Amino acid sequence: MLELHNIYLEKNKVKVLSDINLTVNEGETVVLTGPSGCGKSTLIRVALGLIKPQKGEVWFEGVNLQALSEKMLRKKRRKMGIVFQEFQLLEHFTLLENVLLALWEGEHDFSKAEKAIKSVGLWEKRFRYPRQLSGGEKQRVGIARALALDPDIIFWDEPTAALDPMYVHEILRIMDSLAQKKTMLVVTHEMPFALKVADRLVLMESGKIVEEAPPQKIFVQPSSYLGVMYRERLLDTKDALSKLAQ
Amino acid sequence: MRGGINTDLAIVILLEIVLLTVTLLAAGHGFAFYVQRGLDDLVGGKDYQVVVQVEKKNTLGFLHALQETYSGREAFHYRIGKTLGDKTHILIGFGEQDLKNGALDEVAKLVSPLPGYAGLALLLDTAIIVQGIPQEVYPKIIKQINNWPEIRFAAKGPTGLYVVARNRKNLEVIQNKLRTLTAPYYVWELELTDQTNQEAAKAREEIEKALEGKQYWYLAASTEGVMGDAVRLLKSYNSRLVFDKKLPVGADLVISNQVLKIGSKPKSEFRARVFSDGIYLVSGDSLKLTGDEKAYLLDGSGRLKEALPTYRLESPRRDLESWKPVSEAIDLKTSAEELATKILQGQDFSLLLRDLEQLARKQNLELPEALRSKLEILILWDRIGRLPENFRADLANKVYEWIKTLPADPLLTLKESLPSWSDEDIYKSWRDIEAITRQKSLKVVTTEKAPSIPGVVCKPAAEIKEDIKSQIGGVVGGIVPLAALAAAVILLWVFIAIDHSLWGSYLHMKQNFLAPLYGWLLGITEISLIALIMPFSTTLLVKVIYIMAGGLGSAFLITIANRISPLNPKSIEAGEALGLSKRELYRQVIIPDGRPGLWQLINRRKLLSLRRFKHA
Repeated sequence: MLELHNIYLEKNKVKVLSDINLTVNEGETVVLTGPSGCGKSTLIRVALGLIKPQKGEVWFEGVNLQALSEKMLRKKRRKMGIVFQEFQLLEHFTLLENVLLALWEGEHDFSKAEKAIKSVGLWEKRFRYPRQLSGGEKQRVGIARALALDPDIIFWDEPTAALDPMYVHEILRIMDSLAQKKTMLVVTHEMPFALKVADRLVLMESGKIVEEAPPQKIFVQPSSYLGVMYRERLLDTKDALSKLAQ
Repeated sequence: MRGGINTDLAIVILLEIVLLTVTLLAAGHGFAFYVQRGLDDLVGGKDYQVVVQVEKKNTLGFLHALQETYSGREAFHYRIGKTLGDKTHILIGFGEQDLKNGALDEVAKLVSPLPGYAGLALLLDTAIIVQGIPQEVYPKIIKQINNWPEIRFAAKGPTGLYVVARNRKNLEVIQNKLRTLTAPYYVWELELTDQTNQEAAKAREEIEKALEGKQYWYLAASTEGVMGDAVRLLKSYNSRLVFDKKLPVGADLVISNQVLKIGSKPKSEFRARVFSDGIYLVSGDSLKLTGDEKAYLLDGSGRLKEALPTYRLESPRRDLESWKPVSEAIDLKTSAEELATKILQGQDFSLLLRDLEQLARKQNLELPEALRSKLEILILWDRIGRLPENFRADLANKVYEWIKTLPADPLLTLKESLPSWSDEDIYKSWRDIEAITRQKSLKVVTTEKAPSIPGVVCKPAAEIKEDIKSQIGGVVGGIVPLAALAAAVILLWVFIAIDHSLWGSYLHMKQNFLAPLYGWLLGITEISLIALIMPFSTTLLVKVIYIMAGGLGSAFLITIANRISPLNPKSIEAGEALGLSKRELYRQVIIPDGRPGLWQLINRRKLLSLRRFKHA
């Protein structure tokens, strides 16, 4: 469904992404992780066509995004949903209007927005403004906005990073349920979530993919130093949980 | 930026131009109205030609008397202007016919005797003043000027010929026409060197001889202005000797009680000289003359040339003896003390004279003419800086002494306490003033162009210039477009800062370096348009300066647009990620996020609305 071939990107003469080759198949959930600043979020924006790489190609549903006109690219983008780390809601619109904005240049189908908002359990609060919502609720609006487009793929850019711990579970639960139905590329540091939901785990470091495999394989037999580090972290979490259980 | 946004931008620019035009008109007319009205109160305007200072407490009495004086003149009108200190300004206006008939020339004479009067000034807006031509030719010239379509009226005023234009644009045309009209009048000017200065009378005679048989007018600088007033006053204060026989100007006379021998060199304390306006004593005191003495004409060597027939004395100083107070003064002490204080404080003697007149009037007394003359001399002495040191202190002391003599005959006591000059003293002072004001040149106005006298320079006689009051009006008129344009430029910058800085920020975010050019072009276009249609006339240079200032300021504001209206890149990214077109990105995300302005106002109708959705 989504293929990234030999992606190379630099900003201000600093290499941000290089030799990125990644495929996300239909129905698959791919988790992308790595240290902060390694280029995960940038990679998502390249995949969305928001940033044009200097080299390489992005193919979505058999179409090379770089070859598309602005208009066609925008149309294609409406087949992709994204949930941002910092929600990126428009403060001058209500919850409902924020979701409707996704449909403003499309079908103008109110029922789609209604369905999306109901799916995240916020219909009662649809006329509230973002400033009247909690962090978790804001992120649920962000999810509803992505879902309203009924996208073929959903990108998640560290959706729980800006949330209080009490709201993280709520969001992960929604993501878990969506993973059953949608193709997803998720940037996250939530390793238990990756272990549970991901079909493949992709580890990035300094703008490069250093390891890519099913999470179970990486956590059992990592082939990179980064993989070893993540396995250690996961084991520490397990130890801590088992101690708590005793 | 395509389609819809271009239309939105065009609507915004159009609205801005409309608002800029409205602001320009409001600022221009408002400024003109308020400033002109303020100036009118001080220096008059088109509808008023004279401002009269009146003592505040006498304002009602003055107005009543003014109405009486000018009753029957339909176009006469007045307005109470500003009050400055204890004086109220009354603005007086006349109809054109009255002005043509000499209202300006007679106003001082008619208004000055009214109660509370404290001075007046002529105020003629959009007026040219013509000076330097003899008053004898005024009627002929005025008759011609009054047929010109560019003028409201032409009239003789106290300091020249006033030509009032219908509007300011006509001033230049009128000046040119006046130059042509006055072109037949030339002034012949003879520079007086030290040598010729000593022989001024001779030089004058030479010029007079040269002009014999032709139309000419002699102008003496010392007979003009304050100095001229001083000399005239001194001459009138001096006793005049009147003979039935006509005597040559410049001749010297001797007056004696004894019969003198013709051809002898006389020794007498009374000497007189023949001036162009009369014969006056140059030594001796006319109070000592009776009119029964013998008079002799001297020749150039100072010997007696011939005995003259009897003469008579015309002396204003006789009043000194004839004046009597009409009633006894009572309760003058306080007012007199105030007068003494004012003298010490350095108040102008003309104002002191008025105070004294008020003081006398309150006590039902009349100010003796001789006392008035003495004070008028002090006014002139003071104005030409010739009052002796400590004079004011001495005079104040005399007033205090006078207070002690109250209530008997106070004004006479004051009069006697003032300096008493003999005719000789007066002649000396008169001569001193003439020496101070002695002209550097002799001037003759004539209709002959080519002088035949060596050293005489010939040039056009008329000095044609815009009247000073008119210039003030002109300055106001000149400032109006500047103020209006300034208001418009400031509003333009506000529009740029509010409406266009968002677009500037967006261009900056997209690293489009043409952003300042956008601001510059926008500023230039809007200000150029309103400068083109504005109804206030100004020079092209001024317009260009404002256009450039508008453009550069706008370019600068767009350069710092990021600071004025910073964009929220996260919101924009969200909009782009949702596949919004640039038009909708601008309408739904960028503009509502910016500062409230015209663009936000017209964008309201284009914001996302539930009504536009199916099943909503």
